[in-house]
Amino acid sequence: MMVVLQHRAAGFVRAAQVGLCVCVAVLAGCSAVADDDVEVESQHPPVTDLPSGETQVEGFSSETVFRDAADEFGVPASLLKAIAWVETGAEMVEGHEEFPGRPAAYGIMALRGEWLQRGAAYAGVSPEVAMHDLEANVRAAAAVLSQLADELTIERTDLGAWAEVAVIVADIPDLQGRAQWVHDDLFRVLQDGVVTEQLSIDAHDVQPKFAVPDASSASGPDYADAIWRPSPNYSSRSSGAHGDVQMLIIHSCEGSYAGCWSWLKNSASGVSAHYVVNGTGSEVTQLVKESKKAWHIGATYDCWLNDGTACSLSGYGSNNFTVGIEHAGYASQSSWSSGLIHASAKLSCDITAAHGIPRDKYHIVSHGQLQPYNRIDPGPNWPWAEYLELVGNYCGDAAPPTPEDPPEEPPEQEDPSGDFSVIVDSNNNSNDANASCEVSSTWTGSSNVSGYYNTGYWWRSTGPSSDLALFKAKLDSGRKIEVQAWWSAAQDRSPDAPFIIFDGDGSHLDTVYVNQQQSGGQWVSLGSYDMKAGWIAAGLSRWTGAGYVVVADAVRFIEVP
Amino acid sequence: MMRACVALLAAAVASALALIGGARAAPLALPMALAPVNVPSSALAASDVEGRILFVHDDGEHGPRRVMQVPARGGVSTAYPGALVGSFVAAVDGSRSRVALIAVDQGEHGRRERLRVLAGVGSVTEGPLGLRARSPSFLPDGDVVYEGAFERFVDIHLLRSDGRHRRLTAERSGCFEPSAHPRGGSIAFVSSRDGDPEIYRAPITEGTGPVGFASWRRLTWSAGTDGSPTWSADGRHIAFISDRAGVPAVHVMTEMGGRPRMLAAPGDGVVEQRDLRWSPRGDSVAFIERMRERARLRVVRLSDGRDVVSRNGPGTDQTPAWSPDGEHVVFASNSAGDTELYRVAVATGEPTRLTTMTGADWLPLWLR
Repeated sequence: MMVVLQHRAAGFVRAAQVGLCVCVAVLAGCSAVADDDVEVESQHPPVTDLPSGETQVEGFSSETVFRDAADEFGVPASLLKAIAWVETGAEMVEGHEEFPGRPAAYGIMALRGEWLQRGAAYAGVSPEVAMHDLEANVRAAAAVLSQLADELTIERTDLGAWAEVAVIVADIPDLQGRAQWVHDDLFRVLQDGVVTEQLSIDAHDVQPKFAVPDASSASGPDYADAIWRPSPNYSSRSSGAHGDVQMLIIHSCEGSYAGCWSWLKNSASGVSAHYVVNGTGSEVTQLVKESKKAWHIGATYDCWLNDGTACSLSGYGSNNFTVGIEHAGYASQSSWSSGLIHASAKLSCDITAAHGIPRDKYHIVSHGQLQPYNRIDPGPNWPWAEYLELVGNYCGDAAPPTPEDPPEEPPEQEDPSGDFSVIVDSNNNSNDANASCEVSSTWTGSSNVSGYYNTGYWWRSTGPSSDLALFKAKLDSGRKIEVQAWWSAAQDRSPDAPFIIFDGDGSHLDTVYVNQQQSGGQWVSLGSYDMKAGWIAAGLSRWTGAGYVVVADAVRFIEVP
Repeated sequence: MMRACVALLAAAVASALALIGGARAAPLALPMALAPVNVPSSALAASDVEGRILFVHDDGEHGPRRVMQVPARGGVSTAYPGALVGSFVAAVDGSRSRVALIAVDQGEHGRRERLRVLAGVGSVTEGPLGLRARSPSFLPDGDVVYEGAFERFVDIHLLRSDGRHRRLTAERSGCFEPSAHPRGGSIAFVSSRDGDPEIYRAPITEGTGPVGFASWRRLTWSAGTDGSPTWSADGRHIAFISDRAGVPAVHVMTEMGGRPRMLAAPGDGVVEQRDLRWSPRGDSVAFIERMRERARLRVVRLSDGRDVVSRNGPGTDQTPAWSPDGEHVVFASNSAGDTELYRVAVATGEPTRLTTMTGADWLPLWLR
């Protein structure tokens, strides 16, 4: 346990000090964080069943913190926990002012602005302490909820009545956004319950006393899986290349989903993004057409690197050639849900495909560019590599080729004889039992370009998969063998056609590039190798520079002294 | 005609992979467990180490970001004259006298960036203000190549020491992260023009316009991401970061491409290798190996793939930089709490703390 605490403490200090604008307060006991260290595995705190049926993680007192605050201020503990879960995933967050004018959220309860100030005052702590201390943060939230409950004279024993109180503190500007937050976020958690390592919430049979959000929702104009919630905060893209969409910017809302999109469709906010993805990836909102300029960078981009000051409202600059995606959550959170990552990746695929944007880290970049001298960096826990791979997968980009089986062992031994020389032709009718050419059905037979060996050849366009055309010969005993290849040359051939040489045991010996635009109609040496007995082979790969074809015609294996 | 050179088709065939894996006999030294850096500030020992360290001091809430300097042997940190408040330290030239900084301008139209080259007191060359100015790299004559976005998308630009400015590439899909050949005349850089990030080299031709694609040469051929190309001091090799074998890792190839080899296999739990820096001697590469909850400095020898420095404490190491003689590496680490600069002697692996200010001290460069 000591090690864990030490690590966590280091993590806290690190994040706070590195100037990454990210202060992760990973709660001790937040063992859900995957850790590859085996030793850490054994350090998961023991989980003990409590009489209430809830679970408590030993050594981590957030359950007690919630219970104590609930008792002190007469607020349902499950409500406090549900707010914490919905708003921050029960992590202490240190929010940033993602959108100018919307105050940053702090702590496990994501308290903002006025509510943070009032709650701290009611709870008798300084705002500073309420921002950073778990217990004070929960107490401040409970205190301000309690105060509002009195002001609105709600029935405290009726959990559903707390909806209108909780939604005030959540600070969501849009009516629909408030309804969605209450019904789809807060009370869904209360109805379904939550059991995690951080906290657990019993399932409640409860309905919020709050207006139901509109069910009818149009599809996004560019992305059919999105709900269209048009924002007035957009302008025209510049004409010319400067205004073409060339880049995708990944943002985090620094808050919940409903709060995020409703802030962005509020004309008073003066900011927007094209899309918002919710915390589980179950819903995406489109706010601005991709052909229009959303105002997601000019203002927000700056706050990260300008010490949180002077965030400009202008939509000038990078907004011209970018599409922005917001994600419910915080840059400081320790992980992102798989659902969110998948939903976002699918969306990114759609956008990059529509605008011809390369799917790489140079074109899909994070809002939080932490080291401007050279780094394009996501929040520290955004799974960047996985995300880009998923975007590619959704778009059907060629995955790296699957390894192929090595040539099989020969079924029988051949008599050792004199000089070894075997020609493997692309036409298997010309090959003896000790020679074979194997190509997949994606290769095309041809005899269009003269200079080929025997009856014709196979060709295939180059591309990022190997799909080898394999020329195999059975070698009776270990010998030094020169490998030669034959092709018909033409201008459409690859200047870097890769031949991969395999030993008799199937192991890789070498990869040799040849220029198939030249030297056609003759044997060209690929090199000499000491080869073991077995099926030796030369495979022609298509995995080389795009825009050409590779030609698989014939290969000769010939013994050299 | 035939060219027997040879680029690794990553994962072309299982057996090939198996062999490559096995053949990387490069003795992979187990990380030497160095004690975590925890040197009391009183241990700022004087030594015969020469030069000074330029770095960024970031005091978070309590003040603007500043460029500062500290003697490489340790001592008092002072402001670096000529650097604008809010700038980032980005590159130093081969003579260790010119410095490239990125100035960040927070105007009414939002954030803008500008390359500024300082060559001694009062000598400043500036590029234009743009949406982006990053990754500068010095040519031997004091000219600088860097990636910038001005009236168009991100391309490679050249800022001459006389102030002339030229766009070196004009590629719709963008060009990034240039590295200048140590003797000049060429750059290596990243472009996705063929569909995914690959490393190219191009000559810096005469003239004032962009260098045509016809004279580019593509150096890498992997379906994954190849980036951060960095030329060795002798110009014969290029190190880069590639995820062709899984996690992003340092690879080395010849300056003309060819079969890249992974410099040092990532250890268990490694998420990525990053921040690669060639030793000025060319015999080793320093880089940061990031795990989930920490990151460590490694210095790996090219000849045998052995770790000559491999830190194994808690905390995050980042942004290494070499001394001109290649005997020390300075880096930032929060292993003792606050992010401070440390200097480590490659021969002994012994770290010495250089800074003590509250707030992050990072992004070091070593000047003469």
